[in-house]
Amino acid sequence: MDYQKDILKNGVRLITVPMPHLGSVTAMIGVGAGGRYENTRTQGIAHFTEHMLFDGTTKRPTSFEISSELESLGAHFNAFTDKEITAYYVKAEAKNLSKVLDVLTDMVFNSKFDPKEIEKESRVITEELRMYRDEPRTWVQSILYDRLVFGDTPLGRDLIGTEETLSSLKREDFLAYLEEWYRPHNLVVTVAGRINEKEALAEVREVLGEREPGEVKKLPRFASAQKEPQIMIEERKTDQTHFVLGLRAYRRSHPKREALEILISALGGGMSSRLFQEIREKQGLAYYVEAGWQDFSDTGSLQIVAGVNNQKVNDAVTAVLAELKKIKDLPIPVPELRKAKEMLRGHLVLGLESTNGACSYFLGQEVLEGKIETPEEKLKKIDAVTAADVQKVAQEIFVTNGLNLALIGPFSDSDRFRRLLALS
Amino acid sequence: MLSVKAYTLANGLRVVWYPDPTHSVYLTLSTRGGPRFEQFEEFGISHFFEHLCVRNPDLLRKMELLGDGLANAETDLEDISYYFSFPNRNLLKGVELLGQVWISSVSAMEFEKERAVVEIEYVELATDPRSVLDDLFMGEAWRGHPLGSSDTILWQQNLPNQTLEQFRSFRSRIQCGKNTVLSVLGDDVPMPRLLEILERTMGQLPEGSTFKIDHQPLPNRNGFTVVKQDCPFELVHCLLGFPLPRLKAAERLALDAFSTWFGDPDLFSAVLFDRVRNDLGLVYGISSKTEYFYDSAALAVRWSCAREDVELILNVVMDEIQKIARDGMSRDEFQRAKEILFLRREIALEQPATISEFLAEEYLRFGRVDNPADWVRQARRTRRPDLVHLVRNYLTPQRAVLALYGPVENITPRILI
Repeated sequence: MDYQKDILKNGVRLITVPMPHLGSVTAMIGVGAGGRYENTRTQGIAHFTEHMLFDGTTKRPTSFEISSELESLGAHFNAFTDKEITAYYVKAEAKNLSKVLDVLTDMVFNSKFDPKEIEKESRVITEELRMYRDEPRTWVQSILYDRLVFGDTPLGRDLIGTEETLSSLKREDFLAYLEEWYRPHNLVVTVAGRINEKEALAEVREVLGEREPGEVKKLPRFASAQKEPQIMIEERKTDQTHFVLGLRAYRRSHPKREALEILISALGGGMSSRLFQEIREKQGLAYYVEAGWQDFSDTGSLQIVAGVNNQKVNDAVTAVLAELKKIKDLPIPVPELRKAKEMLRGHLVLGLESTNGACSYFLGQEVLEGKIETPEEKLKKIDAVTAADVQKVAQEIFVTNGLNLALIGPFSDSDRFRRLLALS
Repeated sequence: MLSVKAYTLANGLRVVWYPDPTHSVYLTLSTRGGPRFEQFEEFGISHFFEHLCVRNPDLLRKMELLGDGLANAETDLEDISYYFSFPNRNLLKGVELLGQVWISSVSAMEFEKERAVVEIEYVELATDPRSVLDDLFMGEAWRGHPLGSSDTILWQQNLPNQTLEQFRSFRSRIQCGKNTVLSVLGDDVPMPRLLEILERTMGQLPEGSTFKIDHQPLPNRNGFTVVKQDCPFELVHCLLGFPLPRLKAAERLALDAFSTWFGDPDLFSAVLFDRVRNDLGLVYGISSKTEYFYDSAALAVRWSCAREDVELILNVVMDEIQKIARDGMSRDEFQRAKEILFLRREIALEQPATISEFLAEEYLRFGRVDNPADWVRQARRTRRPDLVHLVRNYLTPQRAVLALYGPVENITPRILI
């Protein structure tokens, strides 16, 4: 897949990805900042800022004016905030690129931050927070587990903020946050679809080229002090127990990344994965069980998430640990390795079929790593992984003192679970 | 222009192909089935069937080895669908496996294992706000009608009693050529070879017959009704629903245009989002959706909010509907509604899984299907009088049902306008 990277004089990076067979274009602006860039007083500001940028600019004073202008073009637009990145995007018919860039950059850089709108939006986000609290599956995965694994560090704090911080943030806080992090050197624009690269570059230069240059400071690295298994329980009268059993894993750009991805795919990717087959199909312990990887610039975490019958939590945790031991002790058979690779390939290729998928792929890498690996390079790395590589990764990561169990269910006694947490 | 082509296997199974250029091929396998067609003692069997028919770990593993394989499956009130995708180069192998999975037998042991899985799923569904609200709404608005007589709790209660014989009997009725449609979306599909494979696999199924629809009138509504289920959540989850009779094609188009303009979940400029979230800041999200059945239809508005805001939001929603009922819709607003529907559909054309599902389910329902490009263009043929007529006659306080799930023990919201 072809792409071109250009850097404007002020430091803004532009990635263009021509996809001439499609009728749409997606423009995405990414910022290298997120929940990790907050302090305890401003907790939630990254995500709150994302909301505020939809609430009106000088040129388009209300959120309705922004949305109706874009949606009258048939455009789809949205944003997302994570711990290390925030991104805003619009997808529309290719002929509307100029208009799309005009609205998108206006939203991101000229937001009014009207105090009344801030107050109103704080109520909306508080509702969002309460909604997540009502969903134990979401809460245990997005909030409880991070608190357990990353403790009282920016990575361990709830991305959405707390009811207290949400109601205390003021206009000046937002302006200071933007001034600190939404600076040209920290910005990447990606445009993918039926585009002319030269024209796209000219469009972006026109709307962003005049912004004052500015670099951003580096954050302190995360260092884990974990020496033994950790448990965090939130007692709730739920009919089902939701848990995350996780282990400390590699950072995002670790050289063994692909081997880890294959390990995760074999363990808990899809209905034929080991965990799904053993825990759900054979033992009937869980309705859902899957594995994933949370990757940051300096650390990471492998997670197994499951929803199980309250009476069978011990059995399910024990069964998951048994699968981890198995894959650590014996190399995965060749057909299973091949299947895991095919799944990764398939997901990568399918994800790149749309202009928004392509934008996310290139923008994510550039914002988070400052470099780009093409899909072809990525596929080569996947192909090169051997069963021994995967086993080596399992041996490095699946260790007793890296185990973490976060759980929501009708339990208060953590000792009954602590006894189970061993991988030797 | 691309066109839809239809084929029929010897046993009556219909295959519909749309040669859209994609890197992968997307398939949807749909059968007429679901709670509407179940007897009382069978309640839940369609959903159990959905699980059991793809319970073949070896074949699923082989399928995943080819690429994506089975993406998901779904039991609706009137149909059961399976969604697959394969890279182009593995399509024929994938279809061979798909055919084998679909007709493979289920042993007593596999039956019991899947029962355990479904039992856990029901624990989750029994407290899932979307599922609980759907059950409350359908149970009230379609009381005494086949669409309103079954819910997750009944499925849950029935599950321990279901037998392998019952499943086999249900399967013999539902899984036959004439009751099934397969859609194929992708270009470069070698259709003759694909049809040969299907004849060898799914072609073995008996011809059977299409499930008959027992058309029944919509129960009468005698005023605004609140149905609720208490549970210790922080927020109250709400569904304001309107049951509608069977609609003609032009009326369905008008209802789709209204719902998109009023509360499309992906539109920030939708009326409800603008009023309730942007102006009042009372919810994180609020949206509306249409649903079509063989003999009726529904419009449902959903939101989650603080307990004290339920009545206020209910009245804001009703107020917006009543404005249209009272004053009609201005030409500009109507043009906008029509255009937004057109543009939403145009974007959907770039989502192959959505189009594949559309092709299979439409063909199963109507025995024909529009070319997806025509389906997009139809949006511009929406007529304002149809839209206003629907709002005036059916989206009325007298027909409204409000379903609530959350901390609702002592609240009974009223329509005050």
